[in-house]
Amino acid sequence: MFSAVALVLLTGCWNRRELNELAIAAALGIDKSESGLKLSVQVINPGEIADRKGAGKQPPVVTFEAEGRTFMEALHRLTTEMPRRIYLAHLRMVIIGEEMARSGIGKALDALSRYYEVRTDYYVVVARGQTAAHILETLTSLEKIPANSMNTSLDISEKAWAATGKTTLNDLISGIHNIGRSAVMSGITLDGNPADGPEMNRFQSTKPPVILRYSGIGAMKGDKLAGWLSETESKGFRFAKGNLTNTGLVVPCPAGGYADVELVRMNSKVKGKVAGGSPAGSVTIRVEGMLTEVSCDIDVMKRKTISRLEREIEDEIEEAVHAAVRRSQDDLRSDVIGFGEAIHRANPKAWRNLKRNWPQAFRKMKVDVNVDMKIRRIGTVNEPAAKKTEE
Amino acid sequence: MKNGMKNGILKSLLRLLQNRNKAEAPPPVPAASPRGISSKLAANLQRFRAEFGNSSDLVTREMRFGGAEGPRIALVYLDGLTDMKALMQSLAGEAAPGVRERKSARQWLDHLKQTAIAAGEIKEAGVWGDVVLAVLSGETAMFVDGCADVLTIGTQGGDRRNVEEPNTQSVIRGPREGFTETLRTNTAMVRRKIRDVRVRTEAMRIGRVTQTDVAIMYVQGLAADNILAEVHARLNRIDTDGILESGYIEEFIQDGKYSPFPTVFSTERPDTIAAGLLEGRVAVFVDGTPFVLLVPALFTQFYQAPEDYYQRADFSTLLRLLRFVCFMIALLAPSVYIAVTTFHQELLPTPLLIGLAGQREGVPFPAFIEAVMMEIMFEILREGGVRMPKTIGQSVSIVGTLVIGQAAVEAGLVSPAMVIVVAITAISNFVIPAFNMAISLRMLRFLFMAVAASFGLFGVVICLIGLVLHLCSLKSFGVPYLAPFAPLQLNDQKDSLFRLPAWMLRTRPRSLQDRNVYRQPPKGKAP
Repeated sequence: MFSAVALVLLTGCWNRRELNELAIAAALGIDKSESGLKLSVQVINPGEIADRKGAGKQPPVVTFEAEGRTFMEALHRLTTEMPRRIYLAHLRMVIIGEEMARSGIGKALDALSRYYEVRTDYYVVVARGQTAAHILETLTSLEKIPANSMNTSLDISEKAWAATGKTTLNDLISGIHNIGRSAVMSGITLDGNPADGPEMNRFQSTKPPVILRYSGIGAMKGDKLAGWLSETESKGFRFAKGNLTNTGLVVPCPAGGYADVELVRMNSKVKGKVAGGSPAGSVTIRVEGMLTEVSCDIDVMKRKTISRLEREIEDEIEEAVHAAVRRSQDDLRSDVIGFGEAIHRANPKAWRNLKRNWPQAFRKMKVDVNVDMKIRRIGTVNEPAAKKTEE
Repeated sequence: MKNGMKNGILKSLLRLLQNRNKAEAPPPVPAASPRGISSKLAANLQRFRAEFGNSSDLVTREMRFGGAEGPRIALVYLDGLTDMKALMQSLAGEAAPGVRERKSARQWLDHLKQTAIAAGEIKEAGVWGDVVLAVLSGETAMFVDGCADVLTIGTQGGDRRNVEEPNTQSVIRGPREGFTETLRTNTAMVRRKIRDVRVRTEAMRIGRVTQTDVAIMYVQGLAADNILAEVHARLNRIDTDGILESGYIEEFIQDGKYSPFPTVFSTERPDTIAAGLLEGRVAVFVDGTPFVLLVPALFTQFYQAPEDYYQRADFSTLLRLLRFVCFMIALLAPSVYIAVTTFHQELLPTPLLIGLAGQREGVPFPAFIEAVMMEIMFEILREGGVRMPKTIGQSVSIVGTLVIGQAAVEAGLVSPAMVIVVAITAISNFVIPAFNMAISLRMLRFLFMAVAASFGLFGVVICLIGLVLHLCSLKSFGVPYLAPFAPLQLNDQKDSLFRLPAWMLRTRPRSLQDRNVYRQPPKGKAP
């Protein structure tokens, strides 16, 4: 009996940590530095966020920085300037400085995937033309925690805008090791003077002078950033990957002006084959959409008009995908769409020979793109508003 | 000198100890009193008064029956326990002319017994002890001068509480009557509900000093023989000086004497007892308390309210599920809160974590101390509310909870989330219909909290497994406590976690007995 009680009481509450002894890290930034890397961490100030009465006096997050030869060394050095223990399980974002990304991130990511406390459900993005520290120091409006703001903004824009994409740690690591499908990461940048970012006072204005914005998709080659896809190329890339849901597409009307179509459903197939020793790839995309805006003079009640619009959109998408493929072949030399993987799946034997010099073979590969587009709905009005006013 | 004194003290201490070890003897009946009864009236009355130590409530009334030539008789009764009106009326006045010729005392006694006295229950006693016991139970002893036999007349009466609505286990729909402190009234209430000759009532007396009336009630043919035998055996085994409430008996006869879970069901409601009897259970009535015991008592029974059968089946099923949810909350809410906030922060969604962390800013205690503090505070308030006079009790406890909860949060002693956890736990505890089951959850909650504070969810789960094992090992009068879940009894599922419509409840619970299971004709057979 006594020993049973002692057993309970003498454990010393191993691993116990009270909520108010934790510094909840919302985002991590990794930059290159002379000694190795510079780690910046965005820590949530829970009192400021949860307390309704006294809110607004202190910033909702605080950032700390430390350098180290390795990731963990920097993490442990952070404790010298913080009153609490860093808690990484609720990490929302990891931001990698562009300089760091270009010189290779494999070593830094190892700690993130190995350390027991870290989950793998956060997104990894690249600070485009910036240091990660600057991005982390920037406060956001509407959402008090910048890391949350970045996280949800990426979630939403991935669906609605198509030129961004979310990447988790697992995607990234499998991309680093997989030569037949390179990883990608969205870029984040800030508009305005970075020095204004940490200022609380700027929220006195309805239009913050500094905002965080996603821009473009960065293609990786191994664990190094190879380059950026433009907006069209990014969209083409996302179309080829086929996980868009409610993106809008703008198409020019025959007689000037534009129409806008929102995607309802889509799927795409990336296929690869080896014919006569040389690889070939194909992308087949099926899209269904609905008309959401007509700002030109066309008669949407006619079958013919609709099918012309459909063809326009097909061309548009095809063009974008081709652009993405061309860019990745000629300039980036990184197989981001994953033709290598498709060939591996279709013809494992041929792939065994092919993968040895895949970067060269990929550059010369021919890629077919087929798009099939259907407009299913034309919206709640028949005639464009623009037409009525002319009569 | 000193030594001698010491010895004396030691001896007297020793004597005290020895005395305690001896079973306490019933009070001052002289050891040498003869069993028989004297034929002399005055001697008998003298003896009565001596044995009762001239108690002021003992009435000995001497009178002459049937006019001047009639025999001298005496009535002995305890004032307040008896209703003498009817008896006195039949004794007053002249005896009929033909009666006067009877001369022998014995003949007079027979006459009184058979003709003269208007009372329902008359017995003849020849042993002194029986007479004394009869008087103590509210009967009237009638002595006839010159006769060594005594009549005991059933005159029990006096002031008793009326049948009222029970305070515990109240219902929205259902009978409003509750048991009283009188055994006979209570058995009658059940008999009124089941008009069948197979309803059997067996009387016994328990308690060497209190001589408390205890009655076992069951339906012949429905109650399993082995259960009935077990009840008899356990009741007969009780040897104590006093039974003042059915709780005394419950503790003597329950299984798992060190288990926090009750294995005897108690209720104030006649309809619950009647339903139990029809299922083949055995009821134990104890004189002097409105709480009647029902055995065997199974785990699910404590989560069923009588009203479940009076309201719609679908609604009752939902209520029962709700009660099981509340069972889990009442048992686990504080411990899971402690475990999650001190060990497994990664289990919480980020916004919730930030919210909780914000509330905990500036709280000086660990979550465990905070929880124990609030739980104890609540237990104090509740206990205070129970003991306080009814009129102020409730308002004081509500105000106390609100004020102390609010003040503790504002003073920064506890976090608001903890107040919510304690409050939901407390309310969930009240949802459980059976008070004795709710008590066991209250006790176990603290154990779970301590384990959660040292081992986290891991400890909570280990403890839960231990709890389930313990429940599985329990039996109530030979019936597994977790029946019909463990062992699984598919047929009984219709009335355990769920309550199917009445027309689907064709059979009685098979966990209790399987001889006579059909309540309604089996499917496909005409009634």
